[in-house]
Amino acid sequence: MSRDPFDQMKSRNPVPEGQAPAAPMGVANRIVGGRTARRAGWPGWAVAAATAAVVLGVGGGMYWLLGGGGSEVAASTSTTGAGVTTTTVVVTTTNGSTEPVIVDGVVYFFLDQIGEGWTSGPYLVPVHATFEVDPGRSASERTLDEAGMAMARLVEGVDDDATSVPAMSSAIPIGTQFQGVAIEEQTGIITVYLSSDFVSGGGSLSMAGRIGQVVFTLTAIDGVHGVRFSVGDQPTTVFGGEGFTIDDPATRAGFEDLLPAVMIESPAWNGAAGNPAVVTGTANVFEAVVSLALVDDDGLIRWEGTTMATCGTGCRGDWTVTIPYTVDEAQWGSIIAWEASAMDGSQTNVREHRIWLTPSTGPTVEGAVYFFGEGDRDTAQSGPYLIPVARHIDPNAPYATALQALLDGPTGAEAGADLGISTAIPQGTIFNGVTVDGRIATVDLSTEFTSGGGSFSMMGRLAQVIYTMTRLPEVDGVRFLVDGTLTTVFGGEGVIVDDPVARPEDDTMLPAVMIESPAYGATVGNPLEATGTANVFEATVSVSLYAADGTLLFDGFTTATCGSGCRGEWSLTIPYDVATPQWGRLVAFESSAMDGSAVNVRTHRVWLTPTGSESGPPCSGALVTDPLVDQPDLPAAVAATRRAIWEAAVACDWEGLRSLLGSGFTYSFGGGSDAIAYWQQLEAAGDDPSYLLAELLNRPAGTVVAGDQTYRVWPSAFVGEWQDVPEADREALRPLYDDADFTGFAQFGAYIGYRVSILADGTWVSFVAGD
Amino acid sequence: MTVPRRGVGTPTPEESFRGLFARHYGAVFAYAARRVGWDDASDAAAEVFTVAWKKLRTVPGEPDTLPWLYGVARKIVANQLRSHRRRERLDAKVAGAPPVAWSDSDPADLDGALTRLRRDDREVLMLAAWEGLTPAEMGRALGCSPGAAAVRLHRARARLSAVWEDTGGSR
Repeated sequence: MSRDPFDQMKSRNPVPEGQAPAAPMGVANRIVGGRTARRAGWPGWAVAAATAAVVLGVGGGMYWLLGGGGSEVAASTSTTGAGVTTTTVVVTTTNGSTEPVIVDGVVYFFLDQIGEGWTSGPYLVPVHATFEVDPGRSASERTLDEAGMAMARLVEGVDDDATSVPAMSSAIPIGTQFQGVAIEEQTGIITVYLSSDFVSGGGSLSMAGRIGQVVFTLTAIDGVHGVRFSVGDQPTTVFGGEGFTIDDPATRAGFEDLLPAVMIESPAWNGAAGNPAVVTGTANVFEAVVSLALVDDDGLIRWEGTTMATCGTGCRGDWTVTIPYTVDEAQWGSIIAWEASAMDGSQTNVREHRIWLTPSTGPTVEGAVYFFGEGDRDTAQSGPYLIPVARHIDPNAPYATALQALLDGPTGAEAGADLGISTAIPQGTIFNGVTVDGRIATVDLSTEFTSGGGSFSMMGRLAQVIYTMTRLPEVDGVRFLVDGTLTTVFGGEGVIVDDPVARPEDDTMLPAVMIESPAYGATVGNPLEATGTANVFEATVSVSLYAADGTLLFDGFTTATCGSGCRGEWSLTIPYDVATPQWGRLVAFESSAMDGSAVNVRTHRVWLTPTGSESGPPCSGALVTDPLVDQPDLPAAVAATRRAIWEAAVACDWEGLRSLLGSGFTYSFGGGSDAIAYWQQLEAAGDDPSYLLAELLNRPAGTVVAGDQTYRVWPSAFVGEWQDVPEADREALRPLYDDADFTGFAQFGAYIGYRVSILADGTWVSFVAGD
Repeated sequence: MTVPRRGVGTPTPEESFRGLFARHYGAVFAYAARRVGWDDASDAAAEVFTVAWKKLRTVPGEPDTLPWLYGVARKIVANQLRSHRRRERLDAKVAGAPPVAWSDSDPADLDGALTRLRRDDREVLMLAAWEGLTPAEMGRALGCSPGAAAVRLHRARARLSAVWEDTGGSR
């Protein structure tokens, strides 16, 4: 037998060729016969409305609406006490005097859920639709406009381009014509005019289904509280041969049978989720507990949790949950809601909506997460010690975004900086969820969190989480769950924490002089407000501030609230003067009692701003400190492009970079059309592509020949299998990559980090990472 | 210039679909059966062809049809596996073992080695070993270039060998 496992795999094909069953053509017929064909030549409701019936007022004002041509007619009908009806007709010409606005709406179809764990259906599903409305219209007119567009969309049927799996369907017969809508302004009761095709064919279930679609669609519109039907010009409350009877007016009550046990109302199918996603629905499930998950385009679960409906175990209640999530770029994902079986926890009554996920665009606040930083090599006490590192924290979901930023670890720029910032949290740790209640944050992490490392590493990672969470408002203590299980003992050596656990009294994780604020890498105002803690001789803390070129901007000292054996707090206001925004260094230290030299030094890189300006650092490329080293063996054209890219990257000159992009430039294997926008998005998310671009160009170059083209590629370690990369070329990757990264490359078989390629003629062809 | 139009003898969409279904059902069913087992394969295959019917206008012609169907099947199977995995997580069981229905008895070493690979790597290996796809076909199924598919297969084979040696599978 061959020793190659791949050959063994071939010989173990679970379904060898020719063993599959013959094609069951009945299935094909069922697929083709499904109601998926688009009806041809639908004239649109505005035209059909020319046949709308005259509407009689039932009391109070009534508007009715006809469409046609470029004008719309709204009529106000009112009944006086003596039964005299007067009608005022208003003609609105929609000739573009006001810009129409697009609003989100929903129409209801049926989702036939198939597959294991799915409810058998079909059940109603809200599907996203967009309506164009005139912002100048009154509330009643607006309601009518939306109702008209929703009904036109509804009778049009299921979009055959829809990518819903399983398939959607409509119970409204093909050929049904929507003729108009009218509304009683005071009661919010809407009357919908449909051709008699609406009641053709189908049994009472189908009849209930189509009426349910109309009722749910119309009552989803603001201002609509009930629905009356006029079918073939006849007011109708009894439908079809089997005499399906509805209330007058019809409301959502009475259509319970059309709803799945767990119903997602918003976001609708194909709707935008927003960030954080606010998900609402109804449910009739055991003990009212609804389980939910938010899944991204790759099928990764980004959030998982439960919520309570307002009623359960036999009655239908409402539920709502706000889901924070992080995605790098806008993409399709899913919101999945289900009932966990009381018997075995399995998923039952699953409802899944395809939804559009977007990166958080909300305002961000400067926050910080805690990593470890070595001290200054000559003078600091040996570390590493905790250091707060600046991160943007989304105020809508501060706990989740802070934890995610913590798990993401330091950026390459931070790891390569003079402090060598690192994390004790193992790679691959997944954040399952966080809740805050009674000033206690309950943090749920995957088991990777407890893997590897000795007791110091274990205490270190616990401290990182505790300090990060308690830096946030409303949190004094942390409770740890590992994959849902309350955990107080960590690791083989048994590190024990309280439940809940607060910041510890002892300060073994802290340097003698700790800067709490500004965090490392933070943008600071002018003057700079520095705070921290210290455990130093006679409580005296010295503080200096330096500009980018090393100029001393401030030198002073302050006294901590406690000293010489106890840890006290200190704070200091530092005025400074710089002409341009720039990176500076804030240094806090203890002056040696022996000789006045600086000991226990802590340094934070901070972004200094001239008085009256507060813009952040323009990009991570600004962090580059080493000059570009000449690489004499490069062709002149390549060398020129290399220098131009480097200069644009360190200057954060995005437009300069854009002008250097070659045609067919590759920056992401996922596709996309704007490299610059992609990198800016990464920068905004805390990634550092411009830093890596500049730093990699300062690494040795490799040569790749493909066909008749010769490329220079940085870093040289990209060329060939990892095991064949010379030691010197590997080591040149430090400090951008560490031992863990090297292990990853070795396992993968090749360097898969970012690399830059330039053609021999100087064309910049790629800056891309990944497989 | 030829304007495509339907005339006498041009198949209707229904006829095109039935032809496509008859030609490729077996292959798509086998693809699903290799990954989710025989029992769930017919559901998956039906879903794949439901998508094909809805997107009939965008389904590429032969010989690219089957690789395209594999691409759809990959997502649908991933969906099924995902819901299996969610259930497994709820059951607090160890997740991750691919529900592969092996035909031989207890090839524990190879099974274990495959399990330890990344999902992408497993898929590339299966497409090559079981579906017998060429790099060009694999590229279409995975949505990458033929060159990239070849490189992925090469690397996946190397990693499979490495993991297999590691688990003592070379006996």
